[in-house]
Amino acid sequence: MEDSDNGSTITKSSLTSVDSWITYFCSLAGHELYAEVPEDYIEDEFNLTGLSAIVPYYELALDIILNVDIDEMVESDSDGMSNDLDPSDEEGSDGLWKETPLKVPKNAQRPDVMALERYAGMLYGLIHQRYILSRNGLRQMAEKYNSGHFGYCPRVYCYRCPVLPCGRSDQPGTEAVRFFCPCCLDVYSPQTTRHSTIDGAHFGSTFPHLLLFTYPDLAPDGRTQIYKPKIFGFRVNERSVVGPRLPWLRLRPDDHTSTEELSMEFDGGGGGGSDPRYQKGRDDESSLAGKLDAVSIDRLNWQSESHKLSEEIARVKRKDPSSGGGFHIKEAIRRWLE
Amino acid sequence: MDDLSSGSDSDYTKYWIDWFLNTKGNEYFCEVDEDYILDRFNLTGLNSEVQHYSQALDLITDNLVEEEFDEDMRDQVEKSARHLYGLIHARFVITSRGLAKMLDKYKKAEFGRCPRVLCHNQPLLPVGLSDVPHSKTVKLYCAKCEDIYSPKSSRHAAIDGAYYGTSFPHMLFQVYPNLMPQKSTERYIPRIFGFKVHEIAKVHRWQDQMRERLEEQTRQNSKDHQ
Repeated sequence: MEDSDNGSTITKSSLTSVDSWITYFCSLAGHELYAEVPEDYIEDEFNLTGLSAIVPYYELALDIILNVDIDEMVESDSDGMSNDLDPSDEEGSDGLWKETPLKVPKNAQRPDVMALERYAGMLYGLIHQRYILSRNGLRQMAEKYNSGHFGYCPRVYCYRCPVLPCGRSDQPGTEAVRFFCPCCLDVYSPQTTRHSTIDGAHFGSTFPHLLLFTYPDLAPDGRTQIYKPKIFGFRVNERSVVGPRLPWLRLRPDDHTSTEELSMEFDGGGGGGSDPRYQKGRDDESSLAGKLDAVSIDRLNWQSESHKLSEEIARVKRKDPSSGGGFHIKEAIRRWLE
Repeated sequence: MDDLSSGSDSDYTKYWIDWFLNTKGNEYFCEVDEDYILDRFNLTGLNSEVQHYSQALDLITDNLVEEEFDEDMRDQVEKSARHLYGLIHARFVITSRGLAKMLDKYKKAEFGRCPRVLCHNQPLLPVGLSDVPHSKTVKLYCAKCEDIYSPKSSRHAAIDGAYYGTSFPHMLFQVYPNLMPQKSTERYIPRIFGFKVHEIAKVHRWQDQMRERLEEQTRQNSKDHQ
């Protein structure tokens, strides 16, 4: 019920916004990163709280975004401006913080259309930053992400993982848009110059992480290959002055095992004894390898099958971690051997 | 004026290597010394790798009489010549002359800069993932984050990685160790409304553990070495 409601509002707004400023803005080159913010979201003043203190010529910029007639704008312009700056505004001082719009000097010339457009873009960006954190906005962006609208990770071993736009700061004018890759958990500069002029604050620092938080299915599993520098086929040793120093940077704990378990594996299993639960699980896995040898492996594609099995075991472990997993893992192995 | 421009044109056609290096998309290649190409020892084994080997070699060294061949054959020789030049290039760039030439290009950041934000525009170096031709395209190695990236432009992304080889960037830093950039342990920390993301923070803590272990190992190793 709720879903269909939301769906209809989106289609309605996109219908009414044909040829609107928002559609035009989102169709500009490089602006395919933006989602179209429905007009009713912008019309709700609650969603715009605080923005008039950041954006110059806030009222005019808002009028441009909402397609208020330009002629009308010019006429009502002078009245609107003087009203805004009327000192009588301060009459209702109830001790609460009040938003004060950015001061524009009195009798100042209205800025030309180009400058106003820029402020409109800035205001739209800041509204956009808030909108894409809302439920509808997240869904809209998730759809765009799913279809690869935002491009792909430049890192070779992420194998063209789709990336998400973000900013490293929420303040406008600090840095251009960056792209977050959920596979290597790192941020990259835009690959095209078209995107390097877009302000990162229009997406905000929270957005990609909230999106993956809301839609965990979209996150790729973080397993990735690590590049090993080699000279004539021999790995460059860590002892070398110029040897690898940062292999941990791309290292990720294996998804199938918990973090603690993996750190034990790196110890060479030395720490494993302290937790009989994991020890047991590992015994099961090693005895499993013995069983597999017995099974006619030639019929099976060893790698894919063993991968499937380890997945099955991980699933059982995740489902019921309290029981220690021993029994269930045996169950899983039996089911797999059948 | 006219004479001058036609003169420079014929210069390009006179030297095949110059023409090749000035072609769009070949910016990653450096000029292989003519002496190096003329020394047959350096080309050992390439004759079985490249079709029309001797004609292609003649074309590279500007000794080919093109009029002897028809259009079709000329195209094939041209293709072989590019391939042959690439393979010679892979051998040349790990010689001391080649390393010096590539170093110049590296200093001018002609191979582009690292797309990773926290590498702060570190210049890149081309690297192959395989020394066998026609298997993998060229990638770019960043010495700061020790990772490899795909080239930005599709023209560069189509170059064969074997024309640079798997060893080149690492060889360069072995020869010029003082050029190794300062490593930083800086990492991007994802935040939701200013709060760290639990799952990712866990991964980061785990990575820190790995780092400490590695540093401990390196310290131990160097002590043993002394």
